Amino acid sequence: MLFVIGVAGPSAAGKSSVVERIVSAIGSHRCALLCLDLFYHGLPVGSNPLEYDFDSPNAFDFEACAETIKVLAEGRSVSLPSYDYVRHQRCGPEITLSGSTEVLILEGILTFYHERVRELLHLKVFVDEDADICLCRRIQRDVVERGRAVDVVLAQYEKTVKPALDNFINPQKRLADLIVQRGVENVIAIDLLVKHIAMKLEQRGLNRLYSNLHEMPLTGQVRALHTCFRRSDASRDQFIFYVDRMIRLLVEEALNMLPFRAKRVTTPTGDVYQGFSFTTKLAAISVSPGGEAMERGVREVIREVRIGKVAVVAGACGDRLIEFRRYPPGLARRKLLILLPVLDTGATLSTVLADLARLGCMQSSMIVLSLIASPEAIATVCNNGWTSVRLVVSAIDRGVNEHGLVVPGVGWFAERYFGTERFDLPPV
Amino acid sequence: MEASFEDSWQGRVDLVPQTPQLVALYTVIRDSRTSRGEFVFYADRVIRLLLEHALNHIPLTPRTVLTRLGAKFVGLAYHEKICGVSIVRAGEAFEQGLRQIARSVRIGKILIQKRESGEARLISVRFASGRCTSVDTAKMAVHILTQVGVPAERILFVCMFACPEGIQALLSAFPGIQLITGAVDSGLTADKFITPGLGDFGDLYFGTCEDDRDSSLSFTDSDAGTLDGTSPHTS
Repeated sequence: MLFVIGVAGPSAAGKSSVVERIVSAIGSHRCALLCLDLFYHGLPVGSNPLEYDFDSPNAFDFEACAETIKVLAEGRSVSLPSYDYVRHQRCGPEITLSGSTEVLILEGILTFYHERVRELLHLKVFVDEDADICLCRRIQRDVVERGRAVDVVLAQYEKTVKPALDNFINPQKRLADLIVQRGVENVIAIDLLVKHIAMKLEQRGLNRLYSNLHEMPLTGQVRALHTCFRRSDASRDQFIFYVDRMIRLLVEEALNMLPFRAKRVTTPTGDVYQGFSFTTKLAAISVSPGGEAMERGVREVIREVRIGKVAVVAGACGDRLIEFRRYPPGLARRKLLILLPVLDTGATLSTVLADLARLGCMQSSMIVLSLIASPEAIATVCNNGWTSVRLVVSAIDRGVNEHGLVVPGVGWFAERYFGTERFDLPPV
Repeated sequence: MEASFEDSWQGRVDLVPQTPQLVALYTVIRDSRTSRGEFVFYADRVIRLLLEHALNHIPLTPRTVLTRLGAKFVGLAYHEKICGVSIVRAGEAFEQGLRQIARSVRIGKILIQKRESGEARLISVRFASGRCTSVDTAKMAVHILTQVGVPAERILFVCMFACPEGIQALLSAFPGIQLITGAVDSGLTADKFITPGLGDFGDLYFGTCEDDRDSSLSFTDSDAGTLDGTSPHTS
C-alpha cells in the first residue's frame, strides 16, 4: 500500500529541506521522491523563458502526474525524463522510481492544486514562509547561483511569481492537513510529521491510507469466527451463532469511537477510581435487510438504544434509491451507529450517508459498523468525500465479483441470516 | 509503567487492552452508587469481553474454507477442547458469559471457603479454572487442578481484577499458567480487598450484601440512548 504525501508551498519556502528531513527520518530505502517540476509542459517553441509563466497551473501536466502516481500505487516501476531547467524541456536523463517503494513524496508549488492529483494524496503538508524571506532566497539563488540580473528577477517576481502565490499557491493552505511554518527550522512540526508517517507505516493495508477506517485487531478469535461463519457448509444455526458473536465484538469495538470524558467514582472500599464515562446521545440506524441482524448485538450492550431503519433498493439505471426510512427524533444531535453487515460496492452506504447528511447529521457523528468490507467499497466511500465518517470493520476482503458481492465474502448475508435464501449462486 | 509490568511477568499476564470503552465499563461497576441492575449488566459486558479475549490464548490451526461464492477464505479453526472451571462463588458470574460464546462447554466448579483466620480451605471439587477473589483461593484452585493432572500450561486464569501482589504470588507458585485480566489495580487493603477495586464481587453480583442498590421495576427512560451507565438518581 503506497502512502502518498504531497508537499506544497511557495517557491524557496524550504519544501526540499523539509522533504529531506522526512526522508532521512523514515529511511531513504522506503521513500521515493517525485518532483512536480518533472511534469512541466515545457517552454513552447519560440517563447522567451523570462516571459513564460512557470508558476501558473497551466504550466503543469497534472494528468500525467496523477497517472504516474497511480502506476506506482499499483506496484509498478516508472521511468520519466527529468526536467532540464536550462533548455526548459522534459529531456533530461531518465529517473526511475521503484514500484516497491512504501512512501511517495510529491513535492512542488501546486501539489494539491489539481483535484486528480489531490485525491491521490494521503497526507497534505504545506510548507510556509514569509513572502519577503522567499524573495530574498530567490534573489540569492537566481543572482548568485544562476547569474541573472536583480531587476530581471524582480520583474519576473512581480509579473508571475507573486500573482501565482496569491491566486494558486497560498489558497492550497485550506486543503492542507498540516501547515509547517518556518520550514525546516520548525523542528517540532517536522518531528510530529515524521512520527505520524512512522505510525502510518506500521498500520497494515487500507488503514494506512484512510485514517477514518478502523479495522479490528486481527486476533485469532476474529479470524476463527470469520472462518466459522464464512464456510459454505455452515448450518444456519452455526452461521447465526458465530455472526452474532462477531457482531457483539464489533459493537464493543465501535463504541470506542465515541467521545468520552473523565469521571471519578468512589468504590465500595472507599477508594477513588479515576475512570471514563460516555454521555453521548446515540441512535442506531440499521440498513435493511442485513442491518437488522446487527440490532440485537447493539441492544445487548445499549439496552435502551433507539433504532432507526432505512431500506435502499437498486434503481432502474444502477443507482440506489431510498425506499423506506424511519429515523429517531433529534437525529442530527445524536451519534449514529450505522449497521450494514457487508459493504460490497459501497453504493448503498453512500446513499444512506447522503440521506443522513441531508437531514443535518455531521460526518463526524456517523460510525459505520460492518462485518466485511471490500476495498472498493472503502475507496468509494472515502474518495467521495466521506472522509470523516468512521468505518469500523472486522475484515477487509479481496474484492467484488461481477454480481456485486464481496469475495471471498459470505454470499447473500441477509438471506443466510434470516433463512430466506431463494437460489444458489453459480460458483465463481 | 505498563511496559515494566509486562516485562516482569514475561507475557504470562495478559491485560486486556485498556480502551476507553473498557475503562468506562469498569467505572460503572466500581462506582458504589451503581444500582444492582446496572452492576450486573455492566459486569456481564466486561466478563464477555474478558472471555472473548482469553480465548485468543487457545491454540488455533490454519484452515482454508470455501465460501458460498466458491472462493477460498484462509482462516483459523478451533481444535482444542475447552472446559470452564468456576471458583465458587464469584467465578459463577462468568458461567453465563462462557456459555454465550461456547454453548455446550462443560463447566466444573471449585468451592473454597475462607477460615476465620483468612486462610483458604478446600471444600469441594466437582470439575476443574475461573476467577479469584483472593490470591489464596486462586492458588488453591490452581493447585487442585494440577493435582488432578491438568498441566499448568493448559490453565487460563481469567479474572476481572488483579493486583501486583496477587499476580506475583500466583505466578511464582505456578509459573506455567496464563493470567488474563481486565484491570491491574494498585494493591491490597488491610482486609485483603483489591484497591481501588470494587469490594466483594460475589456479594455485589449476586446481591447477598446489605445495600440500597435495589432497582425499582419502573422504567426510568432517561431519554434513552445515552451510554452513561449510571442510574438516574446519580449524576
